[in-house]
Amino acid sequence: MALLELQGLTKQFGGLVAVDHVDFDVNEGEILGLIGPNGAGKTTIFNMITGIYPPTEGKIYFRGERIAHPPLTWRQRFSTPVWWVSWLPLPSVKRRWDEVRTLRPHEITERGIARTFQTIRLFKNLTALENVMAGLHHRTHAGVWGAVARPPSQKQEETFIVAEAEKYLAFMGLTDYRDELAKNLPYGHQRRLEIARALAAEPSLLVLDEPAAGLNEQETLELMATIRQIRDSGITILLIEHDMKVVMGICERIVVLDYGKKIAEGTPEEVQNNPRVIEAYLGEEEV
Amino acid sequence: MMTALRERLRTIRPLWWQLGLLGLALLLPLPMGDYYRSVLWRTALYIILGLSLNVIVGYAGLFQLGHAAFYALGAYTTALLNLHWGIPILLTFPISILVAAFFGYLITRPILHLRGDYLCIVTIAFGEVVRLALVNNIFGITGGANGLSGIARPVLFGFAIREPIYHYYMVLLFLVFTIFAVRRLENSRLGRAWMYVREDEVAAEAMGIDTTRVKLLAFVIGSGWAGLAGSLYAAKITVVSPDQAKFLESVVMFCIVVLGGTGSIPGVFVGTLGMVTLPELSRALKEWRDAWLGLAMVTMMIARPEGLWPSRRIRMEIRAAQEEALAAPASGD
Repeated sequence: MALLELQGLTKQFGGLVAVDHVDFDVNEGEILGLIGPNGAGKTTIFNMITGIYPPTEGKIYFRGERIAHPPLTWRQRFSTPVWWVSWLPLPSVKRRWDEVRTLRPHEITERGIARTFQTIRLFKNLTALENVMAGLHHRTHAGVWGAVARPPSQKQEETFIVAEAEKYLAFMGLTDYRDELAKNLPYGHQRRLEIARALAAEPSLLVLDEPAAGLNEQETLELMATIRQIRDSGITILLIEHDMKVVMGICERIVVLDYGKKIAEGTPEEVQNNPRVIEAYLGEEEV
Repeated sequence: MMTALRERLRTIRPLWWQLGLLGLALLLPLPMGDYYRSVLWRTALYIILGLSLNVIVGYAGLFQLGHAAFYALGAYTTALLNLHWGIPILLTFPISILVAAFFGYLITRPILHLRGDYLCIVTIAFGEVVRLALVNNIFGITGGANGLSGIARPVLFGFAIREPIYHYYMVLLFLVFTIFAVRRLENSRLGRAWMYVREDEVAAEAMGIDTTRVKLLAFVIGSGWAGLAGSLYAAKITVVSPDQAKFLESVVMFCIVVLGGTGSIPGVFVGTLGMVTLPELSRALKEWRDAWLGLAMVTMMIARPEGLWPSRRIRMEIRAAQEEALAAPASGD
């Protein structure tokens, strides 16, 4: 079974069909690239996978569980028995309710999908360490009581959070910037910090939105090595990228989108030689 | 000279500072008359209110311009429980906290997805709803515009707390606990979650933070604590009235937080001195209090938008937001 399955995924913004019945699978342990010209609907797919907005139509399965649904109309809500009792804190109700709704982004992260953003969305005025600590939020539990009374369990948890965060900072080579504010980091390091923050959430699927955008040659090479390293540690990777060197260099499989439709899927070689892909990127040849 | 002095002061251990300030707070009312002791009591009470609002406005970065409603709810809870069932005042405190927190939950749960100004309007409306409900003698129990009177004195081990100075000490006790609690809240997992939500809600949500829950917690904690302040008020004044839920009260609390320095505990002290203590001490200012509020607000927003004693972090955030606004003056969104 594939880790992530997209079936007939569609997103419409008013009259614009940004994503049009796209199907593809992401297999466990692979690096899958999602490419396409500007406006092809790549980021829209990412936003649907991570729950930022619901699809207009279609299904997304993660580990066999459905995580995205088209929004329910009021009529559907009234005729769905579980909607009436969805506020009850019962596990059985919760399970049934999860089957018909779109999960919220934080719930999807809890299930194991973490992401980075195309335009860097770090917590700018917080330190690098604090940024990475954000990823550990859903792996820890202290609440109001823990905060005020500070029982030993809470102290242990705090040490755990800092230690884990430092581990991911070190992994991304950012140890020296531990207490630096995120906004003061060089651009390339900000990109890496975002990946560190996503990794701290301990995902099984890491979704990277143009991780190499704005990086120089050297940084890009380093990033490619890091992405491979992340995959080798057992994390599946789905990435959008414009830099063909990166895509062809690290992706095992590639899905190509154009105007919201999937036009090709296959290994880098297959995709590179696909006439429809060439057409989409270079335009049709005038006869 | 000044910087050298400041460096010297900084080397003193924080514990000594805290003990020193506590000692000062304990000794301060001794040489005073009852009037000034009452002023002190009021100051401490408003600091508690300011700190409770600071959890919502400062830590979670949410607007709340109806905070006085929860203050009034706490006061009325104490009054009603005491007048109808004769429950001792001190025992009504925890119930007031729960009632105010429960209403905080009830009111904010449906409006949490609103942002900025919209949230602000809804909270103002809620404040007015509470005030009007109290004025209109809802369920025939709130005593209408006159409010309720004849609340008993709090009794501790057979000793009735009557004189202003003892009320001051009681409020001081709660104030010390409040400072202790909010400082710990700020530096905790929950406090960080508030910080993340304040900085970038989308990113926070994407990192696995249940933003709705976290914001709700801020409202529930803040409202509940305002309820406690209401009870403390009822315990001293023994009369509660709908005036406590006045919009101006909410504005004063909001000013305490914003003018002192959003998110900063010393800021709330400074804000309370300016907004509550000064008008209380000087007749002229008291008569012109509304004007004073407005003037202070305008001056501060122009000269020092981060407040008089801001928290380092929020000053940074406000400066960054201003720089961004200046860098892109023509952007249409």
